[in-house]
Amino acid sequence: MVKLKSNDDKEFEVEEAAVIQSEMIKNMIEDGCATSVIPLPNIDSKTLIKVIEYLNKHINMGKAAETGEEDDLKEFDEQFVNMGWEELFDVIMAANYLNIHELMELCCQSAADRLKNKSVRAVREMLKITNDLTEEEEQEIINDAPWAFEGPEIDDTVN
Amino acid sequence: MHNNKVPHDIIIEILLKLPAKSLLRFKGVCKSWRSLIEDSRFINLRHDRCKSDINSHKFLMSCKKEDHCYYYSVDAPLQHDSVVSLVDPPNVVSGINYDQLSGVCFSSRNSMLLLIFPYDEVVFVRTIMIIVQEIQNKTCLA
Repeated sequence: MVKLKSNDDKEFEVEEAAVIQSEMIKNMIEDGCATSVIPLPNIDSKTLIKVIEYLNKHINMGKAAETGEEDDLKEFDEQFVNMGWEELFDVIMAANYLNIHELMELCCQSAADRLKNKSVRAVREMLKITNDLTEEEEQEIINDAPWAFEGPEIDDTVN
Repeated sequence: MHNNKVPHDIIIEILLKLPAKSLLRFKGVCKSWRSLIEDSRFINLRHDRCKSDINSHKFLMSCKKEDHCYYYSVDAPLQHDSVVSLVDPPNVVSGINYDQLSGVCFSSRNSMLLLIFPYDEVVFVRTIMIIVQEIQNKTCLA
């Protein structure tokens, strides 16, 4: 068992087989740096619980293909990313920090799916980006491909 | 995220998963998104990733009626509900009179565009990102 500590001082025990899906922790264990509790100063307990839930479910991913559990995992993944926008980014940041490739892919794909049909205004608001383009530059981008700004799928709502 | 800006490397990961239409629109989000989306390294990286995804492949077909050539883009894994879009001619080679073309074929696997002219002229072009305007969507019915 490996002990992880969130930035709000909560400790979690995780099986080594699950936790080594994180390249970062795998390297720590290999280098003999994981003898006691591993502090994770960038991750709060709420996010860490989600990450551990994912790691535990994907523990035997290699075997899933043989045992026919692939559909089960697919369903789990679909349910897993069904979370709020802010929460999704907390998990993405944690997966990036812990270097868990599959989790990063899953969550970034979900973020892309949610952004895909958004208007420019909605994207800025969702990602807290300030527009620094001039009006002329904005118009130029629209003139280059006006069709990319049109279509019934384009959604101006935030979330 | 809570008031913090999303790091640039995470933005890149997310943008790499977006279709061309969204990327062309999102060039208008801010300066750094515009330079990223127009950056040839980003375009190449995106192309390498799309290559392995069969669902992102498309056929480009041409059909001549009287003197005008029509172009269609079709989802590559051809199924009964594949979407067919009438598109503008692929605007990748300047100085080509598309009305003289007798055929066109596009392989999204390696982005090779084959332009066939009457008699003996055949042109191969490698395109980085084919951008075609969807004029009309039709769904094939089996």
